[in-house]
Amino acid sequence: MRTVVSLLLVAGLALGAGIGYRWYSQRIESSAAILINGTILQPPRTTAPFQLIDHRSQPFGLANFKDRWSFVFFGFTNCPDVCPTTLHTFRSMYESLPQYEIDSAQVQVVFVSVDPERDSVEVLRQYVPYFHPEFVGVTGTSEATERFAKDLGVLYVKVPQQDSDEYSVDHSASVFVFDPQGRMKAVLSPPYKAAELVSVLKQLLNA
Amino acid sequence: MRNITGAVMAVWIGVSASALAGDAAVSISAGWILAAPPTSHAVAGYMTIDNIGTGLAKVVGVTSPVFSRIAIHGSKQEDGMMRMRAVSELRIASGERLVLQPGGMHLMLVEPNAPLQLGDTVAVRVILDGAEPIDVLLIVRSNPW
Repeated sequence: MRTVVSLLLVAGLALGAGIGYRWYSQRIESSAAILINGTILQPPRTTAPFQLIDHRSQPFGLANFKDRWSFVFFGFTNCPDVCPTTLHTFRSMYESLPQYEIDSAQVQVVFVSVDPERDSVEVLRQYVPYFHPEFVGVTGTSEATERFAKDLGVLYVKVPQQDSDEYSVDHSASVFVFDPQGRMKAVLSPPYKAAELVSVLKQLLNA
Repeated sequence: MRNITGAVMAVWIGVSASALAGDAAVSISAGWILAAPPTSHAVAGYMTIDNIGTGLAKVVGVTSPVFSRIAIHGSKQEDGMMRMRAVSELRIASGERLVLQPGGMHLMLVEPNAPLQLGDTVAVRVILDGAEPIDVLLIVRSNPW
């Protein structure tokens, strides 16, 4: 009996180590091969005023970009894969700021809904702070959302799901970085990695 | 001693599950669910599927009593847009590995019957074409990156 257990233990450890190694090597490969794509806008681009509402029911407009760096991206809460992945990545990034001696009070993360029909203030209130209490969820009327998105060059379109009566929303995957003067300073493309987002931020802070 | 055996077996089953039937042999490992707010209508599930047999393996569905519905979906970035589409089956050639992962192929797990917490495990049954189904444990965790 003891021999059987030992054999199982050895086999289990070997299997575990093998899988651990595979994960490790995959992660190294992916972090080396995939670098963040982005463009720094020189000069920064001004944005038209807009009127949206945040998950605390407060008005959210251009003034909310002032005096801090803002990472702004678009999504919807019924999206199970890409949107929560991006929010988790931003949480890692945001929580790591102190170790790079960056004051997190000068950085905000803003999730703008491209599904204002389903994403009410209440829905966002239950969704966005889960990822970080300081993150801001933003929604608004369909017209205001569309105007803001269009000004940033963001496209989104409702797509009925083939396998249910629900719909998904195809949307631009870019992250927009606004400077503390409220101007668009950089546009980033996925995939996003926390460490790479921090290095973009450091680059912008030192520019 | 029996307890130790049980624990080792539990680890074994958690790490990898496989099915053999005819020339189809599939091994599934690293199953997980991306943690999401408790009010989420749907969450995403991921796993690594290895076809260790000599024939083509096809995953034609996934079931679980924990969810009202499970669909196989693919996220794709195309022309700067993120798109998500339903997929009718996953095909894995002999010797190939398919990794379901964020931003790619995933399971859309709709309406969990109770909110899922970090560290929870959920069993799902992966239905294969022409082989025995495989029961896989998915653990709820936040994004590895």
